[in-house]
Amino acid sequence: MNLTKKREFNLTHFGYLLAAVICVLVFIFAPQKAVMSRYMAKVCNEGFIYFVAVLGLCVMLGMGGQVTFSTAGMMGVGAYTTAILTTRFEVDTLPAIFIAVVMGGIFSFVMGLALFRLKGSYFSFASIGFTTLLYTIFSNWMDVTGGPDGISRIPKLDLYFFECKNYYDYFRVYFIVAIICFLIVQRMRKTSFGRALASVRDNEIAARSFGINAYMTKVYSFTIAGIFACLSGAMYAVHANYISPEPFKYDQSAIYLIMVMLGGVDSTFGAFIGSMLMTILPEKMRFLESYYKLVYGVGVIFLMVFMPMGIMGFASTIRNKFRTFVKRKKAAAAGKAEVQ
Amino acid sequence: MKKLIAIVLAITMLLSLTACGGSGDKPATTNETPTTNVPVDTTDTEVGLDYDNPVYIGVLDAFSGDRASNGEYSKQGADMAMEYINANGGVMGRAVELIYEDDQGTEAACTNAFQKIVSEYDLAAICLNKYSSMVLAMEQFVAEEGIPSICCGSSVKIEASETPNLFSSRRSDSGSGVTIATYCKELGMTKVAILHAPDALGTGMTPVILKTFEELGGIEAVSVQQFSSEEKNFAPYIAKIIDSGCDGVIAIAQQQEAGLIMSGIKESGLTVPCIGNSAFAQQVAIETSGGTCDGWYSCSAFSPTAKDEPTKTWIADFEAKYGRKPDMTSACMYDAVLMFCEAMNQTQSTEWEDIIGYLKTLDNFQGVGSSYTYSGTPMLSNSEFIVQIKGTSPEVVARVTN
Amino acid sequence: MYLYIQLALTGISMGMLYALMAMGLILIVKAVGVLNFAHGQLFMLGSYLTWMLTYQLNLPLWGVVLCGIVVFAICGAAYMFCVYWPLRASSWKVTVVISTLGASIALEELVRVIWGSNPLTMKPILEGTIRIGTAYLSYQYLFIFLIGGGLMAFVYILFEKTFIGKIMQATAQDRYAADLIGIPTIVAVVCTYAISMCLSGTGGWLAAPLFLVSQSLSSFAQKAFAGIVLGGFGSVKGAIVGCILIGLIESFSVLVTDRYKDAIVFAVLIIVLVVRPTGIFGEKIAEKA
Repeated sequence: MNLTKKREFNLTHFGYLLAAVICVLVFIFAPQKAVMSRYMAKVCNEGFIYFVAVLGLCVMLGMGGQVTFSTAGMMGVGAYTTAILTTRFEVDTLPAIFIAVVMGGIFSFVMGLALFRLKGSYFSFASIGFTTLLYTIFSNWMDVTGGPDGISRIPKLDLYFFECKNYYDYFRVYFIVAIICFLIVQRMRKTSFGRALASVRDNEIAARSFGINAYMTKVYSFTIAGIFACLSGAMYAVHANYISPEPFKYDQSAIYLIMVMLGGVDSTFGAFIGSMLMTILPEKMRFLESYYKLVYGVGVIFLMVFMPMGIMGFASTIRNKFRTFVKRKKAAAAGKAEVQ
Repeated sequence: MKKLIAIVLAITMLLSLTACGGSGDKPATTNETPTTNVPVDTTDTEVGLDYDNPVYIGVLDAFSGDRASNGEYSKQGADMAMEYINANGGVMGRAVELIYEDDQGTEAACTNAFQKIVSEYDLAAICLNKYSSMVLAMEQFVAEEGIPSICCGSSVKIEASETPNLFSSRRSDSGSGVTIATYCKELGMTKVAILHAPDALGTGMTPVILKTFEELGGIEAVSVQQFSSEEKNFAPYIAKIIDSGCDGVIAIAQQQEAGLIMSGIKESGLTVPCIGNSAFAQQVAIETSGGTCDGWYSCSAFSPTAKDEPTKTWIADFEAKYGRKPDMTSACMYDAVLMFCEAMNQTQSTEWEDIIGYLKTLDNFQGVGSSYTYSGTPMLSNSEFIVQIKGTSPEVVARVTN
Repeated sequence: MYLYIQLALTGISMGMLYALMAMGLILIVKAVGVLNFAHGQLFMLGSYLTWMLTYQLNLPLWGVVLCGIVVFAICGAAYMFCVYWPLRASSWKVTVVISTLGASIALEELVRVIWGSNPLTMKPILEGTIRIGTAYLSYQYLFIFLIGGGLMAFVYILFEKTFIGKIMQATAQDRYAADLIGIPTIVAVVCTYAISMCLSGTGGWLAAPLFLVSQSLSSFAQKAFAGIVLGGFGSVKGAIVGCILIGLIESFSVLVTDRYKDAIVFAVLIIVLVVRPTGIFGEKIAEKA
């Protein structure tokens, strides 16, 4: 008994160590011209950016069970705040991003208070309305957002001690940001907040009878999702150096939802796989040209039919099956031995 | 616990996959593309052309997504230019090869497509699409790369761009705005209602028109309306136009909406003279208007019924080849490719600086869409038509040159 | 004065189109409990299918109507079997939502691959317009009123007053129990989807002459969603009233602002929801544990 426990303990440490080593190796070796082209680096960076936004969905959808279409809109809030602060008021990029994230957090908290008066599909729908509303503002408030022309010449990310000059630099920074955000969400699952959220997802009435304030729990989850989305939007703005209303449209939110479902809605790491796959695959499948989207749409349906819990869910199902198979074999062998 | 190991394994696999993908890409693209990756067109048996070492020109447009119909037109235009060049001696004895990349008609995809095509091929020049916001999204990449680029966008913001290697084969929207406003005055309008699109085109051109009205005097805008994006139902706007008591209408929209606006105005029984931007004389708009386009004026960079040479022959060739009339984008792309080839032939070089240098000395270069002159801004085209649609065919009324 | 008449007329007729779509949506929500995000695409598919029947197969009007209903019913059933049926046992409704999102992308691209991306034109059932002063209304709008109104009344009666309707309602409320008492639930669900597709398809057919046959027709779905939520989820009456209200708000908003039209529609929606979360006609249903 003691023995097995000790072994597992070691394995955990080994796993963490391995993960850390891999991260360091990637950090050192991946962002180089010999390893990946600038184009691939840019695509990977976009993957990281989307991953941060998708983490918010991971909290909302995976942990809280709320389908929201507000991600793209909140990304827009983050991106536009950063862009306006850096270009109009000449704030440095780092404080600008910080202000954007704080403002986004407050904004999404207030919006969450309003939107979560609604439940289930009502809420999902209101979040579509919310995103459309934001999009309309982005594309029409000419004086502030530049209207459909957008805002160009957003300065590059400057961390004071490290300035991002090219995509490889961005890769390093965004990789670290992605890891930090990953760890935050991973930790969040084990807090009382994470468990409260899960209980709201599984059965709201039961959760309330345990004394959980379901309404505020959902509002907090919306705020967290909003903060992640704003951070992601800010990262998008300083990475692309140009923003316009188009990427913050409601249909884009659907893609984030698909990302989180693809990776596996229950798993933080699944969100990473999902967002990276959904960013890299379209680039790798350019040869399909106009058929790509058809394949993609049908693929989503198939995904839901065959792997409703995404890649990570699928992986764990297979692992469980394998485990029971092995156990059965062992049991059978033991049974045989007994008989003999 | 085992879950964690599985996770770590999956990280390794994924990251090695991306890393390998990246590393696998690079050598293939830098070393092999010129000889093996691109299928060499051997069916063309033009003697003396070097098909093994062609000059690459990139063409970036939407070949999938909502804007794919536009991409098809520009691809056909660019293809015609390539055939024309290769049949007439190529560039410095080398064949021209066009590399198409799909930008899916979205901003996020177009910057990726640009990065991809530039890092994978040894391009001499690149042609970009006509949607201004996408061109603006790519502007910075264009500036960083330094590759000579001709887009077909006409936004006021492109005109103001200071990127030295970005050009446009169009006249700017501000130029067209002045043309439209002046022509309104000529048509004897005094009270004009303006209905414009919410995109860069509409919001850029409208202030120019209003300003020109002020300068001209005796003509004013009684109603300025912007319709919302993806608008289908124009009846409320038209009702307001009628209510404003105007004696002329200016409409600025993209092709998809242009047809609906024309049929909407016809249906409303409004009989005042109407003038639209270039989209109103495009094939798509004329077809979708269902015959209600009769009598509309349009300020267009290109008229598919132009009677001047070489445009007339070119249009006939295009129709013979593809079985339909060319679009403005076909002409813009054709001219863009032609200008690049001219630049390379004149300077006997495929160096980017030389091509840019030549484009900056461009003076009255005759293309099929327009004549092109460099005058300090990226906008190379210096002429435009006022056409009136008679029945379903746009007839040239006047030619405007600045 | 005529301006207001005009705005009211266009507003109501747009509302009717939204209502046709909304009614189909509500039926599906009632039957399987999830929003169908591909409903706009079904609407668009309807316009393309009728275009095909009219211009590619050259059928006369009555042929288009008859074949149209059959084709719509088949499409609705096929849609159900592809997108919903494999997931019916799923404990988590989100999978169905995502699957309809996938279907919306696939349908849009399928139509593009088959019919191209250029918009197509379709002749109205009867050409011409009625004029009241400067206000005008094309006959096509009258057909929208007539056919749309008739269809909605028919479906309402079908669901509320007939035995088949009771079967479908029973299935919607508790499929397990319906199965137990011997209701062929699969037939009920197929019927619901077929009827829903018929409603949206007819909407597409009626809208096509006015707004062209193009992929962007699917954007109407957003307004239909808005109408449903405004009227109160799950209430057919509410959805129709909600949609017509949305049409009117949209139309009259040009008096106040042009560019923020969509924003006004959704702002009104969100305000109404925050003030009265059940919508205008929504009844308070106790949550099930």
